[in-house]
Amino acid sequence: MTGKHLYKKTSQLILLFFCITFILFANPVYSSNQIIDRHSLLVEFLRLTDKQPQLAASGKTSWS
Amino acid sequence: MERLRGLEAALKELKYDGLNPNHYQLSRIQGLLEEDELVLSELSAAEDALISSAYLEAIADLMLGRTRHSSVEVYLNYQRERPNHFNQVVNHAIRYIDNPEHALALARPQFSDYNNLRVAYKRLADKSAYAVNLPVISPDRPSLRVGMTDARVPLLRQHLQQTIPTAHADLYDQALSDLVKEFQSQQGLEADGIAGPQTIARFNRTPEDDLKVVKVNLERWRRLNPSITESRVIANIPSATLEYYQDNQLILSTRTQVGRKDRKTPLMISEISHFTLNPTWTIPPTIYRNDKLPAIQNNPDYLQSNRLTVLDTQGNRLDPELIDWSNPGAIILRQSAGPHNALGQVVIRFPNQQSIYLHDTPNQRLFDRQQRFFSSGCIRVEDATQLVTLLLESTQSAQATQFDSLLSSGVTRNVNIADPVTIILGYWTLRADENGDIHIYTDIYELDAVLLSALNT
Repeated sequence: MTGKHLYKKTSQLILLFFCITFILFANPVYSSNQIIDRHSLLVEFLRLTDKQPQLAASGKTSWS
Repeated sequence: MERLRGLEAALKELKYDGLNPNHYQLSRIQGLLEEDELVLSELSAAEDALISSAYLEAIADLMLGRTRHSSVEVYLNYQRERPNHFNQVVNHAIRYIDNPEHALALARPQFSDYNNLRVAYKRLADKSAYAVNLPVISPDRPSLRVGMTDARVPLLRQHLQQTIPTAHADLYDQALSDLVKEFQSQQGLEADGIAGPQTIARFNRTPEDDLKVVKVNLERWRRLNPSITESRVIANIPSATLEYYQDNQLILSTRTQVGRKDRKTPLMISEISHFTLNPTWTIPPTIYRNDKLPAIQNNPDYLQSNRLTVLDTQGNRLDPELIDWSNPGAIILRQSAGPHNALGQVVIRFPNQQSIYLHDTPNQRLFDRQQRFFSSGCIRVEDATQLVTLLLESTQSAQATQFDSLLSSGVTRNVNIADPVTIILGYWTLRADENGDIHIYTDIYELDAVLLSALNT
């Protein structure tokens, strides 16, 4: 492959990369990247309830 | 312990949302509540976390839908604001941590369509427990018409709870046809009094079949719940109807014509931004290729009789006589504004990449049909000008008072709405009233089974 060909191929690849990036990120259509599963919900719930001492002290964060 | 009992009660109620309470640790919680108080007062950290997790998951499923990450029935969303749903769920769970019953009740979609479906689910669940097994009627042709005798007629009478006469029990008479007509009308079918395959399939439905459809439609409301604003236009594809709500009050209900099975109206959420009064119509490429070009090739007068002008891609007018219609090349067809225009007097526009909009139509007769799947994707609205008037007035838009004069001027122009209104092009195949009486619509795009399967996995 000559230098000219290599230059052309690289340019095409860079252009393709930018096109794909544009389609993926500039598209206003909703993508469900906000994963709301039971594990992440629990982690956030425990983190937030721990940060509220009055809530933890009231025993309301325990089901006992 | 009271909170745990409250959670148990709330989880049991989830069956009327078409959800399985055991997905949320109900059996485990019931097992714990059967233990003595000492065991309950010393729950392990793991047990505690498991119950919290079930509590959070129930809230998330009610607020956003259990199949929220599924790739089926995904809406194209062009709303400008996307609230952080993750934080909404966690904050809701913490806010109502004192009262889990309250927390789950308020996590449900808070509008009548959802509540009515829950009432219907309860009713159908009771009905299915005591259902009388009615005979299955063969849907094979021929269709039953007045004057015919057929062995299926007595079965049909049984379904309609009509006394079977001693003589001519097999005769499909006028009285039976009238009852079938009434049934068809209730079911959203073409009310012609002829018992064809589609009508017979509806007769053969069991309460269990209906329960599945209620379940799927409850999930549809939950999935759309975050996008539903107090003022909204909702166009339902299967029922081919449209409703405009202002501050959660129904302001207008009208009929529509929506995309046929091979040219589906896409499921979409957007915001109405502007209107075009007295529009011209630039024929979209698919309609040009599939409908207009063959019509022009078959009828040389087609262009003139439909007031179509031919343009090049630069917008310059071309002489149709000089075009080789067997290979016309890159041309554009445009229909002039006026009463003949396919878009009627107004177009209601909202941002989307699929070139979908709502519009008026000169073809009003088709609104009288029960099944209105005629368009190429856009939605034709029966009371389009009234809808525009109401939208302009309710948003206090500048042109609200001049609307009539602008419309009658015949001049093509765009008018902006002062405050964009949410529009949902949605898909619900069943609706219930406050008593739980259901109305089923044709699952024209065959989406029910796919969502049901996603919901059951």
